[in-house]
Amino acid sequence: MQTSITSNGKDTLVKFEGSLDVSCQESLKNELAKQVQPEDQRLVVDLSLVTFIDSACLGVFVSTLKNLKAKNRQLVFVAPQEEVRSIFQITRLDRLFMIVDSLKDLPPA
Amino acid sequence: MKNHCKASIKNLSEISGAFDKHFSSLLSNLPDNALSSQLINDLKISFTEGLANAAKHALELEKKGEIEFDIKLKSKFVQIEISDHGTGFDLKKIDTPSFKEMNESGRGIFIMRQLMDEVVYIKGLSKNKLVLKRYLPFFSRKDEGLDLLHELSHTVVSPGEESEKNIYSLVLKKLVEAFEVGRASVMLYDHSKKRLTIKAAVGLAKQVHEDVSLRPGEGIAGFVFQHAKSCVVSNIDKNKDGWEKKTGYKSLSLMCAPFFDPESPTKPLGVINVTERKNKKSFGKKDLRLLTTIANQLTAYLYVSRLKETLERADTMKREFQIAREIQQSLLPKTPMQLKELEIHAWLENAASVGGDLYDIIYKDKQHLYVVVADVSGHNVAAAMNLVNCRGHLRALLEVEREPARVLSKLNKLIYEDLSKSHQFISIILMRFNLKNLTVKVASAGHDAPWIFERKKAYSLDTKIPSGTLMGLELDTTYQSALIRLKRGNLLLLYTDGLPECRNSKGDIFSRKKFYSYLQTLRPQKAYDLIDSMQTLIAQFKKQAPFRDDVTAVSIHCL
Repeated sequence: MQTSITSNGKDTLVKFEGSLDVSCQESLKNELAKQVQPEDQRLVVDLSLVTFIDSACLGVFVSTLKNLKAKNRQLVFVAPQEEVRSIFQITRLDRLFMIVDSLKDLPPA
Repeated sequence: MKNHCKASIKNLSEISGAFDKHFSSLLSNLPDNALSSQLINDLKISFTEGLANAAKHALELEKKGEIEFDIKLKSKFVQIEISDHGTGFDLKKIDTPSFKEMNESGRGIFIMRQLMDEVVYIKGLSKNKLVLKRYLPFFSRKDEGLDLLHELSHTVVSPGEESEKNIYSLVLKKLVEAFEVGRASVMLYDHSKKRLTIKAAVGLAKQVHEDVSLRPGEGIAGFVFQHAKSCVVSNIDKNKDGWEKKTGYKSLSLMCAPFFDPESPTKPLGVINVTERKNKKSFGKKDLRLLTTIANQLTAYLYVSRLKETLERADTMKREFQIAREIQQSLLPKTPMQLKELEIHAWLENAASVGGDLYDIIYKDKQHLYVVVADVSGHNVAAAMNLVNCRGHLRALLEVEREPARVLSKLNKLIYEDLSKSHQFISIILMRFNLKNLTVKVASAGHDAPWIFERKKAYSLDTKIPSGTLMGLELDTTYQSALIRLKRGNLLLLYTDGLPECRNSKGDIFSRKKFYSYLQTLRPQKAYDLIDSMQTLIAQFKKQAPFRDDVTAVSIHCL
């Protein structure tokens, strides 16, 4: 798993790359925990380069969403690949998560 | 050829990469795209969840060594076994996760259950084993409902009904009858819209028909399409899998199965949906298996239909057809055949194309004579070749084997692969006459039973002759023979279904019922009388219409 983080003042954009599985669960957790800290920004997770995700990492996303919601902040997932989207769908997390097809489709912050 | 790999991991970090590393070595034995990328991903996530689960119960808690796994890639399924030495758990007690609450964990087993056909956990004394099995598409499970298949195959390959839209409608009609449902639909994937839309339906309001549009992965049909995995929901209100009840569902139970692109049988073309059973009972796994089988056959019909259309478009191919037909005709034995004990007359009418029917008479020795009638599904070059091949094998087999049932079992083994490759099957009846005592040993592979004509009555032998599986459907099927005693003066009629299913110019089918009641009235005196009656009957019914299917009748008179 590789991570890059950028911010445009409104959104914090986190882009992961590679496979998100149980072996990187801890580092994913730490990385996202850091991004929950800033108080005012929306968290945008770009999944376009993520090739695989398992339930351990889905769990991290769920707890991130929970923490952000508690602070009244939004979490948006962007451009999951077909295989990753299908895991969201199977676990019905597509009903819980906000998912958009591309960065252009992000709703106004 | 290597078709399984065994390995182990000792810590969590080895989980990622384990699947790619080991599974790719198995895949390298297969042609490219033998498995869809979605299927590989389904296997990968289930494998990863299985390993992570074992790791949770073995590595962390127990610190007890390694986790072993074994991935087997068979022709019909992939099986993954994962063993650990930890304390284990009770799989049955693990329920589906709550879809509304935001729990961090508890999705691993659910994912496996959704994506795999079998998830079994065996808790042992020193070792626990998780077995995950996923059937590969198209081959699916053991075929069921062969009667229905037989019927379907004949309806669908009847010429004049080969367009895809017609095939969908026919399959739908059959589904409604087979499952007694009020609603069934065929959805196709539209590549330009990237949506599944309804192509043909019964019991659906036109508006719904036009409005429904799903992305792959969306809802039950979307799931079935994306993962190429059929699905049954016994009660949508109480389902624990998280399926949402769509407005407009009247019924609680539903099924959905994928069907495939004949050119690349790992990729679904679309799905078949069935719901609103009239007796209100829930669908079960058995129903789903039948639906899966029908969906697989739909794939086969599309294949046959496309092949036929391609062939018919090509002018040069038409000449080839003509040649193939002539060869086929030349293989038929000369009739009438006059023996001391029997007189045999035969009639075989070829439809416009090759393929179709075959009869053969093999005079073995002074005491024994074989008569065979066969019908292959399909009217193309492949069908004709399969039939000629079948004739050759049968003649060779009769050199070493006499018992009709055993002959058919061996014959099926010999031609099974060729038939299943071309998605065809053959119905065949084989009779061995003992000329001395006028007995007949007969075995049938899904063929219409012969009729017997006595002085005062005529009846079908269908209750006496066990009808076995069509050839080309199951490799290991066996057949049973029946012994029929004939009397002098009796007549026997063997025929193919082109006779009762003959069509007139309006497309109406003559029908079995009418055919049977007509046969009951006949009192033929000689072998030729029966053939003459058949020819007159068909001529009166169909008038100037061309033959759409081959027609065969063989009449045998015991002198």
